[in-house]
Amino acid sequence: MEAQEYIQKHPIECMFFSEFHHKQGPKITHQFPPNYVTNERELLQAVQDYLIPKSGLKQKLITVNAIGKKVIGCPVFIDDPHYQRNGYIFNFGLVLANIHKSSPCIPLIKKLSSYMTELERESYFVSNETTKSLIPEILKKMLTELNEKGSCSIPVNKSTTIYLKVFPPCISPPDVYDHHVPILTISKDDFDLEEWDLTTQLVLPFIDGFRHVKKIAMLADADPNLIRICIQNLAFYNQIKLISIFQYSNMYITTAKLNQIMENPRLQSECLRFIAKKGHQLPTLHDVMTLYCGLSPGVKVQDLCLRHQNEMTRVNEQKLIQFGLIHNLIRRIHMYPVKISTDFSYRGQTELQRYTTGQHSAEEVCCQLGISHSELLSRIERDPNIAICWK
Amino acid sequence: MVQNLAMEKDPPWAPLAIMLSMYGRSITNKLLFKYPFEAGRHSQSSLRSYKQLTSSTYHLNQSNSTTNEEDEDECCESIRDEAEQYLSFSDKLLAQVTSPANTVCGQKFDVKINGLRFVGFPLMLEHGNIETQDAHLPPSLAVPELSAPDTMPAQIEDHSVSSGITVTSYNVVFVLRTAADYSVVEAYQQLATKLGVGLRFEEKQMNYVTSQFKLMLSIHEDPDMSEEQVYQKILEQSSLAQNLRYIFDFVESTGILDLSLNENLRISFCLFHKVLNSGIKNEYGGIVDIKSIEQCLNQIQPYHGLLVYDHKNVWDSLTDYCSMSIVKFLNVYNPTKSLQLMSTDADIAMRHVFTIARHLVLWGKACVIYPLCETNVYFLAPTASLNCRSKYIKLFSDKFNLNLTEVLNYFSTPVRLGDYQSPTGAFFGNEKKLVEIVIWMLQHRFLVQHHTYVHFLPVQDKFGKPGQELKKVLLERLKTVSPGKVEHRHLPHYCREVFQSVPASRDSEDLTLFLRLLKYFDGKHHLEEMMYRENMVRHELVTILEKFQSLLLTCDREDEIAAAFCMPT
Repeated sequence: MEAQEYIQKHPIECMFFSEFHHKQGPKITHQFPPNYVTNERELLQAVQDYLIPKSGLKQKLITVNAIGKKVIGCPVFIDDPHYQRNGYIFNFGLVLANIHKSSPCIPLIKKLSSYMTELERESYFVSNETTKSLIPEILKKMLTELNEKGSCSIPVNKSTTIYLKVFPPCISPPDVYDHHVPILTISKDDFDLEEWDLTTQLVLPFIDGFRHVKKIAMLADADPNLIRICIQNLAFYNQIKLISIFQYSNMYITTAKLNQIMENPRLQSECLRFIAKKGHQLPTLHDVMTLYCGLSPGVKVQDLCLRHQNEMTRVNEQKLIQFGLIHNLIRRIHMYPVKISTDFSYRGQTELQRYTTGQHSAEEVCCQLGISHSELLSRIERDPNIAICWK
Repeated sequence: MVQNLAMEKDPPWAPLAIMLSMYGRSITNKLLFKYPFEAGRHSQSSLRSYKQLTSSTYHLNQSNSTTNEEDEDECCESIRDEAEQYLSFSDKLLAQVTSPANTVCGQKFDVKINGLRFVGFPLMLEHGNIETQDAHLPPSLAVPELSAPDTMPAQIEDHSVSSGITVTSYNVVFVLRTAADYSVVEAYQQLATKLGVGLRFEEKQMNYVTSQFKLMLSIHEDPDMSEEQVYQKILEQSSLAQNLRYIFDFVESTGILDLSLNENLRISFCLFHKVLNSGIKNEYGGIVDIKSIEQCLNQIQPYHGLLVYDHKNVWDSLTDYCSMSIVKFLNVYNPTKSLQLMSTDADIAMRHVFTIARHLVLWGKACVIYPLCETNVYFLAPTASLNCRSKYIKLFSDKFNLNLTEVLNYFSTPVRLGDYQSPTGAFFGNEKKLVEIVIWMLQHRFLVQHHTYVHFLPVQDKFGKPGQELKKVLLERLKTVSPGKVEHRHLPHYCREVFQSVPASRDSEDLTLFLRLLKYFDGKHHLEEMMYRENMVRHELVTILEKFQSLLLTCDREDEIAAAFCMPT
């Protein structure tokens, strides 16, 4: 699905087959669309030495950026006395516009080159004149199917079908920690459980936007490491987002994206429905904006609730924060306990002091030590060597 | 410095190598020089960084260590792969890959092979006459007269092949990792272009390229030397090779290059990625995205100010040929002044001031701020390093004799700078120190300034019309009535109701001012911007906002433009 969307925005412009002809030298034998490469003389001049290169570059993936295009290929060298000159060089490649990334199409070229190597070794598929005549048709099918669906399957002979796929570039998913709270970005009803692995099927019922990873692992009675990997996997596929544990002592600040709620009527109505208290009148835009604007460093959610009791009769504060975090209208300001003294030789460190290096947020510390936020606060109060920073 | 870098994980913008290849009449595709050429260099450094990484997993969240370790190992593998990949390319292969004959000269050269990217700018030598000269004159005369020690070896080997060589084209190539962003590739392409064109210029002036290439070729012909010895000898004897090494070392270590090619032509270059990310290694994704900086610089406003990190350093880096306006600018520069004020003081056009600001920011000498003043509110930035073992703790206590963590604690609540100087404030009577501390913390991306944004949003269920629509009507109305004064009775009927609850709306002056400011109340303009655009003082603005408080909502957050440095997304 994603591959299809991607390839339609970043289509492959041409696929070609080139070889070293024992009489004519290096040449582009077939291409689709016809004459695509050969018509652009400059491009051809810039890339030809990489299409049929000298032996040092055999079986290497080569991308050449020139004249507004990207030409990707992986030349194949086969040594065999069967051939004229005792060897055969060929290359299957493709052309993209220069502004598109090459990485999504690179695995495809690599795979195609190994398919063709095997076919050539088994049956001289590429060099034999009769089977060679099939190549233009194969190229055409390949290009059309890839550009339409992002993948293709093309039968080339009785026993071989070529399967290729485009891999859209992806961002590596965030690290998942015990104190993170996964929240589904799509409706649970749209989630086809059958398609997912067993751990995901096990975990999914426990993901409600409030429980943190450690708790989910406990409830699901599964290995926390496994759960973390599973949740990271879901995050990779954009099925969930990671937010933080909701507590009344949390602080948030608005972001510039908050303006979207004023400008985007769809987001606005979605927001009003999402954050409404069940069984009450729907909140107004004024309610929502008052509450979001009320968030700032130094204002805890509990303060917000007290200050705006009127608006709060219509708004579910937990949902309010959830919605803000999912759509990046607000961001969390985390508390960090940090020790002031830098005396490392200090022996007999308490458990708490191990976590007060400034790299762990209060939430993480609570989660690791299994204590409540107020317990943590009173422990920090007892230790004059720990300062609290918010950021 | 270089050693330090090797210890860190190699960033994607660090070059793997620099090389010079040529194409000539009787010698084709020759790799003349590459640096670094010691075989041990890369594998060692990557091995070191590998060790460093595995040991550092100890600091990471214990329970997560398994997943992290895997990740670290993987990314390490890829780094090692790239370095090894580079080593696996023989000189012959490199010559073949980077040969200027392969491609069109005078165009960007960009070839990616198995995880390595070769970036350059091949050029033809524009001198048919040299070729004929070389061919017809006796060999001893073909070598242009240059400083004696350089040309000696070439003259000795007059009868060897090298004397008959003519250079047709050449290519200065950088080897990069494929992980490098495309903006990095473009930066190196730019540098390669500068070098290529510079070399051609020097060739025209004094046949620099020909003489240096011949010198290198003659050393290559020595059959008794190993590959490494050849490059070593080239490095000793050729000034061009020394220049190339200098370029590589400087780009790798500081990111800023200032070179005299052939001791004549000045070439300066700045690798923004390197410069903007030096010294900001912390665990909170310290990598500054070059695109967000560009965006910030495109939106920079006259009311913004500039924070020059090290004034003296900027003065020292100026050369005799620098533009006079930068000198004028630096003379009037002050972090408390806005760009507009500095433009007036220095008598430079605003457009020019923007250019100077842009230059200083991109070269890592300054960042964009709102001019320092008492009413500024600062808060800890998301990039602030709270690590109690970071180097900043020591730097800070050495400089200010204060504990950084304690000061960070002060800035954990947004407070006006002026309030720190009040009798109950932490820096009472120590104004100068406070300013220095704030400057230091802004420079090291510990602080971000918070601004107040205003929304016009009357309680809507009372009046039926949503705020947005109301605003539109009011703004329309403002255009039709005489610009001088608007009175309550001029307003459309339903608007009058909105203003009913505000006593100040009866005052025509207040109402006029409010309506004039209305266009800024969309949550996109902060108070400081309104003050600048409407030429108002803070007091005046705050008073009017207070008077119409019941129709407005305010929220505090950072200015997106100035915060580009400390808000990695």
